[in-house]
Amino acid sequence: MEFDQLLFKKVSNFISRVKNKPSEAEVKRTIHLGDQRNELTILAQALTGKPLKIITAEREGGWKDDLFLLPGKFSLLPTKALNEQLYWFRIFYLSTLVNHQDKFQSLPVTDIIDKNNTTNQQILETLFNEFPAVEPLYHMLLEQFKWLAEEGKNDVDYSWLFGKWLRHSAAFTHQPKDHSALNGKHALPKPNTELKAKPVDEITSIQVDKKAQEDYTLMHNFEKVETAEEFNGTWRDFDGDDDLKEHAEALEQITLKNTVRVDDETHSVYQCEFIANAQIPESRSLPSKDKIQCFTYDEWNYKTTSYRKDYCAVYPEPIKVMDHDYIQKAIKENGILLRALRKQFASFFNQLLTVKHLNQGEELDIDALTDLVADQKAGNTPNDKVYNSKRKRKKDLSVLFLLDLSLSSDGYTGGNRIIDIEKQVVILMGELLHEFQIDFQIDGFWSKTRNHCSYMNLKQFEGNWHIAKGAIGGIAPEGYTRIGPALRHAKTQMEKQDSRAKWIVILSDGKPNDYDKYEGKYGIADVRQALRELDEQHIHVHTFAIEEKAKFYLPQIFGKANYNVLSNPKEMLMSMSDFCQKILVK
Amino acid sequence: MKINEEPFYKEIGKEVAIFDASYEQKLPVLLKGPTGTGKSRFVEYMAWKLGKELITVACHEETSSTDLIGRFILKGTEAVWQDGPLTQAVKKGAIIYLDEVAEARPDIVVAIHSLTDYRRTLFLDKLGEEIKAENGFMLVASFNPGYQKGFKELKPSTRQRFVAMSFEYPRQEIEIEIIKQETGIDQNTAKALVKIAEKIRNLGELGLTETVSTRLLVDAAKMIKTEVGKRLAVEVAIVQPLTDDEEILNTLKNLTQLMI
Ligand SMILES: Nc1ncnc2c1ncn2[C@@H]1O[C@H](COP(=O)(O)OP(=O)(O)OP(=O)(O)O)[C@@H](O)[C@H]1O
Ligand SMILES: [Mg+2]
Repeated sequence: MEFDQLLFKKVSNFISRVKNKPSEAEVKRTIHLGDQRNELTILAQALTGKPLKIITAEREGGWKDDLFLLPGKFSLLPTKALNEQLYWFRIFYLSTLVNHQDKFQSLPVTDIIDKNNTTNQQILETLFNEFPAVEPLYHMLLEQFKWLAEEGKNDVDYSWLFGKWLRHSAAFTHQPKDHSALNGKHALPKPNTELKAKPVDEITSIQVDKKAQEDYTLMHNFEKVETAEEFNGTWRDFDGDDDLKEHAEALEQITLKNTVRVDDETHSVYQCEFIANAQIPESRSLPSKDKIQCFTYDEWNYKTTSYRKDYCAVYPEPIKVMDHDYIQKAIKENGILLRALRKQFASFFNQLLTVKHLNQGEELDIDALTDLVADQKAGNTPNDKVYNSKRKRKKDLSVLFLLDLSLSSDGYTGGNRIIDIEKQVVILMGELLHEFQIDFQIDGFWSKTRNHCSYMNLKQFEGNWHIAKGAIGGIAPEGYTRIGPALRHAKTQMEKQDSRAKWIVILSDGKPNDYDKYEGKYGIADVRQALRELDEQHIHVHTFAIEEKAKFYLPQIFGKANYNVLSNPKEMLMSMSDFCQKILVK
Repeated sequence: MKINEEPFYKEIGKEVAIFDASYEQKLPVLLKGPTGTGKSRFVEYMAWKLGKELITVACHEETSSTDLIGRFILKGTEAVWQDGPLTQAVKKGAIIYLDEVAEARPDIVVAIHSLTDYRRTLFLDKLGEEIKAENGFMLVASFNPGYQKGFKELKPSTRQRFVAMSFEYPRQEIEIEIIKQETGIDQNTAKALVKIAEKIRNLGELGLTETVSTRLLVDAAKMIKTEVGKRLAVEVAIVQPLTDDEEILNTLKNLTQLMI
């Protein structure tokens, strides 16, 4: 960095630090949306009956599509409790808007809302009518804001209380998406640095061509910057070096109003929580079938309630890396868990082994015996198969594990890497199933648009478990999550099996998404359709969701009984033994 | 069991007329709907209205056709035949109510098939005997089609043998009425309870919690009438039974406190 740049950066940082440094008291009373988000989401969903999500707003936020945007933190009011109550009030207010959409259709968009505005008055009236107890809460908050205004604090206006009235995207077609996967996480090597982006309420995505991009990197970034106030730190690094940390302060100031997509591997992840209505093109071209072996599958379009014929191409992928050490370590580290599971598994397994109606055995079947006596009395030929026995019997069962290997599995939940939890679950289950001689297969999937869905077979039903372990150790995240085609391909695998009970077990963070509009309602509807297809073939599906927030959207896809959320080892034991019982006893 | 006193039942749709007609036409009836929507109460009411004996069997996973039809029991050196509840109802011409049929073993479906069509006969396999249903015999079954819960399904070939009615949680005014009638609680409290139920059912539809049944609301109202106090009553009778999830519990506790 040249001297003048360095100086500029120092000055710019100094100014922003002086401007933004919070006092201790402020820190104490600050409420962070992150800590409240789950409860606020539950509240919003209860009030509206809609699968709303809550995300961080640029400033005061509002209601947009299926989203409530709220300030990332709030500290204007003098106590923590009051600041928390503001969030509650905001949810009640926004839910009233949602519940009475028709009534308040003609909202003047993005105006700062004056508390005496007639529409605002109507909204409040409707709200208090339904929830009388919210009225005193409102007046209390209002008083606080009045005082603040009298004290002449800048940055105080009623928009904090009511939010903005935001524009919805065209007919709500754009659903929120998992942007941790979309935005920066093209990273194949493990990212060393992870930072959160500043949120924005509206985004336009610009397509860049490589040429322009190359030209651009030759340009000097600072030439455009005029004053420290306006400096917005627009570093655009396409070279994949890990100097994100260095640029952290600068990145803090990026506004993501305009974004570009790149396919390069990056070493750093700049995680933007959400982008509403980003414009993503659907893949137009048909799957190219010529290359290697390729399977095509239909995809469900809920809007037309029909299939898009041969819409997705699934390519079997070869195993790339073997890592046997990983498994050794995993088994060692989870020794206690594995022992506990084994015990439980054995007890479920043994429950089943009672075989009825035998002509010899260690137990008498009372019902059969009375029938025998009755038949004798009646002069009929009695059935002498009156014994029960606890015999060893191989369970007629096939299980296929389907691992979501998309980049979002590179994320963390409860301090654990999602992909590592996935690996550990299959390793432990694999050990058990192998021990108890139950047929199982392990596959992984990821996708880069519908034209390239990848499907990697890690262990075949008839394959050797000890060899397969190395392949599981070696897997690494890649691409996006298109669950539908993966499920359909898994179904094809299953159809070759002739066991009586068939199970597909999905391990995923559970959010369907792909580069080309496979998300939100569309993705969910396709997954549900694929599940229906499996159900028709009498293939059961169970999901291990490895993400705490999964409980908010998984039930919509899988139904309440058909998934477990795993985010820490304790839940893992419970969920897995729960699952073992299910497959063995059903 | 003969029902002597009129049970309180608030009609929600045209279910009484439909049941009457089915009885008249000797058609079996299937009541679909989630728990606590008044299915059992309705059957009781209809049995009373028609002046008939009602035999109820609560089916569970272990319920087999033997349990319904009957079995031999040993008495001294004798094996004596004992009629099961279904056989009794067929012989007496009573109403038999198979609660949660889908839960029972598949063999009971086979057993009732011949009863649900024009033959109206029951085959007692262990006796090798076929008996014809008395006049006035009626088969009523209930079933909870819960996609959310992964409940057992009923085969189409079985479902199509029944006249089927769907039970839902009633409209607000009706539900308020039911709570008031059942417990004698005041209008405002009943209304608040129903509002709370509406919000929780929102979450139930999104799969976040179990849902709140009318039964649960009636129980809550009964609790409120004790010394416990409204807020605590709502918490223990409605919120706590729904889920063990801390966050959902917390939010619902706060929300319901704001509503009552
Ligand atoms: N329409 C109604 N009229 C009167 N009471 C009702 C009505 N609906 C529900 N209830 C009340 O709800 C309670 C539960 O109803 P009931 O036991 O009939 O439910 P159910 O549908 O049979 O449930 P389950 O499937 O759990 O057996 C009743 O005891 C009664 O207090
Ligand atoms: Mg009942």
